[in-house]
Amino acid sequence: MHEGSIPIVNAMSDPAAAVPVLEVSGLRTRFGPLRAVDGVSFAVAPGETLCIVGESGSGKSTVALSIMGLIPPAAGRVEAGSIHLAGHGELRGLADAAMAAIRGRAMGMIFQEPMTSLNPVFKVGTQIAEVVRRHQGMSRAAAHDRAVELLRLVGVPSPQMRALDYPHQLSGGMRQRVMIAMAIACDPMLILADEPTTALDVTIQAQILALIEELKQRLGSGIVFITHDLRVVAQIAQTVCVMYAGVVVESATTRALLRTPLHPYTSGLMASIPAAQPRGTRRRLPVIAGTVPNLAKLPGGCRFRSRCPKAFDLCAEVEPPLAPPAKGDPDRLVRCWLHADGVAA
Amino acid sequence: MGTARYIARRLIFSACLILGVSVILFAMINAIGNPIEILLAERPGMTDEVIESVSRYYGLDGSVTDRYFTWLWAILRFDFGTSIIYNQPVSEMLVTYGLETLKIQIPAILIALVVSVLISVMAATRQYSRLDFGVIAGAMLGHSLPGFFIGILLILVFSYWLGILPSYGAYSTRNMLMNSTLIDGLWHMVLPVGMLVFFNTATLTLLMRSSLVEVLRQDFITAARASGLPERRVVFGHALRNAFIPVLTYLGILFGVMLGTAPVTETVFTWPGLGALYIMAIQQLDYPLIMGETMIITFMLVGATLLTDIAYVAIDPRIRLA
Amino acid sequence: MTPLLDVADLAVHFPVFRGPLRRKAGTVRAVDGVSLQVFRGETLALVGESGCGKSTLARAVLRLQEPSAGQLRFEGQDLLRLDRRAMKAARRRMRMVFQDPHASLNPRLRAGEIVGEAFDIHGCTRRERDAGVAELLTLVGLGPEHAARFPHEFSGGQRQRIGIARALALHPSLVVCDEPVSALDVSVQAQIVNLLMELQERLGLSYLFISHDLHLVEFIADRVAVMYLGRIVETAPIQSLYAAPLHPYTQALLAASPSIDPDRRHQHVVPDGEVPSPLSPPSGCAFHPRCPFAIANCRAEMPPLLTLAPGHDVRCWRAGEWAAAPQRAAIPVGS
Repeated sequence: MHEGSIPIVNAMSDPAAAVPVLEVSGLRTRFGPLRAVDGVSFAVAPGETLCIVGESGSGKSTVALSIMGLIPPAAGRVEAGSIHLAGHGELRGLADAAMAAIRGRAMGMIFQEPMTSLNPVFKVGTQIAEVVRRHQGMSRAAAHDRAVELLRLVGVPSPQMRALDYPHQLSGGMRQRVMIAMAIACDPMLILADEPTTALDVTIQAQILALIEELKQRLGSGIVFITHDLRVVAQIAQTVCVMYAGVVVESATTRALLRTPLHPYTSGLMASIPAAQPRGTRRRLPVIAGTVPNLAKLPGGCRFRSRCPKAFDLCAEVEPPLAPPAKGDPDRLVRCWLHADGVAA
Repeated sequence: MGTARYIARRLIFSACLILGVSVILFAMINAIGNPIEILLAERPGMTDEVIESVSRYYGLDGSVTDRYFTWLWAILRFDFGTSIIYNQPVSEMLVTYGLETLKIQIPAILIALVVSVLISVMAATRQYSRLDFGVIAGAMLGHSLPGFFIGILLILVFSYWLGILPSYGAYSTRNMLMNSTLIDGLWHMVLPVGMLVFFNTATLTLLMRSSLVEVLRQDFITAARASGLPERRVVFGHALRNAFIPVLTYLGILFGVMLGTAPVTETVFTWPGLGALYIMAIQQLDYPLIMGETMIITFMLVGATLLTDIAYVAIDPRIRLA
Repeated sequence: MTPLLDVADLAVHFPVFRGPLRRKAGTVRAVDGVSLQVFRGETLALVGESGCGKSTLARAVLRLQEPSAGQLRFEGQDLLRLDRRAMKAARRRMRMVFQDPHASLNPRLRAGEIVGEAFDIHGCTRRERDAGVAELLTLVGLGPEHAARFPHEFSGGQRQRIGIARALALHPSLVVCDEPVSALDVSVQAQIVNLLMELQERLGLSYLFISHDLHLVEFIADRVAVMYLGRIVETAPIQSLYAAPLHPYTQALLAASPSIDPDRRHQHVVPDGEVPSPLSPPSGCAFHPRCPFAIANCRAEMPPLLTLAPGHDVRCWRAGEWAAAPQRAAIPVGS
């Protein structure tokens, strides 16, 4: 109902037809023996919000850090795959300095914890201005003005005064707005958001989701939005990748995925979200039994097998490929033998 | 403003502290007894009359409180009386010897600070590397070795074996090096400063490295990298200032106790500073000198603590009044 | 029916010290005149955003935080009049499950010691303790063999099971659950929620259930109390609260809770602004600066908690209007 008040710059009708902003294929990232990301591929079009959903240990945050080139070299490394950013080509293998020049300019990142993601000893205006100065070579004064303008853009009231505040003087919601201002300071074509609303209260979460949506319309950027919450996915995403134990198990448009989940993990996740149920005794939530497997010693076959109510012999023997389902929408992908050609019982 | 009031209160608190120390010091010295009796009683031909007149001469005949306030009023005017042994005004001696002490202590702390920052950055940015472990091991060793041991080792190597640096004193007694007081003075400073730098660097590096490792793990460092800041700027601009906050306390103590730790260095290198003077004063029961030096050490310690507190406010906005 | 827990006009005020000199800068009324009842076998959910005082209220109920004023009756006893010994005995009957299963278990104690601590404190023999621990671990879906393990050997969900077993030692009648599943993964949340519901049915427990997740609350609770800035703004049975929320803040919370249905995007209006500082709360109704329906009276005077239907209390000057025309409530004025 408020859609009309937002100026829609990006008038793209079919995101899939456009050249993707980001194309990731076969990404593998390891932390020692731990295969955190084990062959992940996806693409994001300009103006598209792609959600990566998963629980802790699914590798979703590692995907974001791998794209940004921020995997600490002492802890792990991107082993294989390609990360292609429109206008900048292949990012994997770029020198540190070249990568640093792209970060914050062509791609910005928003983090989960607004309380700890800003440097406590610098004024927030200074921190935003620093990014602008670094990438756009502005003077100190011009960068400060731009920082104030960015704060206004992300909905911080009296931005002139707030720019002079230190992070501890701002609420969690305001700090997250500051983080967003930093991420979009140089009009990036790609925004990576790693659980940006998880630490926030529900009314503030709604405000931040609306802000991210509005900024996407304005800048026409592609967004990779990482979350564990399928309800947030329903609110913000055009396409979804569901990750489990380092791989994508299902990807589809949001509506298709939430209306008819194909992978048993996706349907299990959806079912375990509490919703209104008839009153009376013995109300229970459907659960996914067990816990996420240890990534350092994954068994062969399907990674979800041990928790899957529908697992059969083949699941233990061979890992299913991520492929279009045998029946139904050819645009979606699922990693499950139940939906594979000629296998489904 | 809040900060000004804060500093004002800290100043008042510091003054009270100094006053408290002066009372305790005076009471303790007084408890030992009449110094004239202790110093002169054993001498032959000392009659009670002589002791009494000497006591009167030194103002030791009044009541304890009278004498305390006379003394307090005097030290407020920077008059610490006359040294019994050297027969010179204590205030002049404090200045002369104090400058000699500061001459080696201040450069030593500053050099140690710079060196430890550089070493810590190298180690912390390569955590768990061989370099990092080497730095930790070295710093632990340096921190555990007693200062005089390092001093003697330095003398052995550079003065005795190599014979390139002087092992004692602040100036050459006969021929100045290159006929310049400045160069000769610097030449003599090398070993004592070296010993202090070694010791201070070890401790500062231990603190700074662990603090920096902790800070480099924080989210805001990842966020700074994510906004494309060059690594040098991330480490020196963003991490170091945060890492410095816990180190500040130790730095304050270092400045505060530098007169207190001076005796060891100055004994090893026969340096004509306050530390050596203090030892001498105690050995010879030179009361005015002991009291004067103790008050100066107190002043330094309280002053350093005050400066540390102010530095905290400057460096960490979270401490400031909101 | 007398309630198991009866809280009347409870207040918890904290003096606030600021700046390097820790001077008193004011008083935070974290909980300010809260009355609520928990009946036997029911779940009362306490919802609200961070800083609304719900966790402080929970701690005050257990006297882990000494209330500044008010009455606290539990199982017929006036808790605030009890001496230390009597309070210790009362604490056997009212226990707490914490939010963070990582931080709330002592990492140096074995699971058996953590669960058995209550037995030791209340002077049971070693055999009674071991038998009790084994029974409790089985009850929460673990096994007696887990007693010898340390917390770090368990997953997050298992750790929360240990936390629940600890709370259930010595047969409490009331368990205060402070966001017991919000730190857990989605698939594990459901397991813990089911466990809590199963235990309630088997043991007849009452829960004071603190949560910010309105979907979860709708599933698990019988009644809800909504808090805003230290006060209860609405109390109602689940069905009426979700069908016809009467306080504008409750409406905002429900509107802001995302729905799993992708076709129901941005259907509601989200309130502007943020929760004000509890140090300087707004005049009158604390919600008025963010309320789209505020009238002059809201700025001037704090509305009383009015009972508009059986069991449905609302603190809003205009609640009568919403109750008369509930469908109007979701339509913001002036848009």
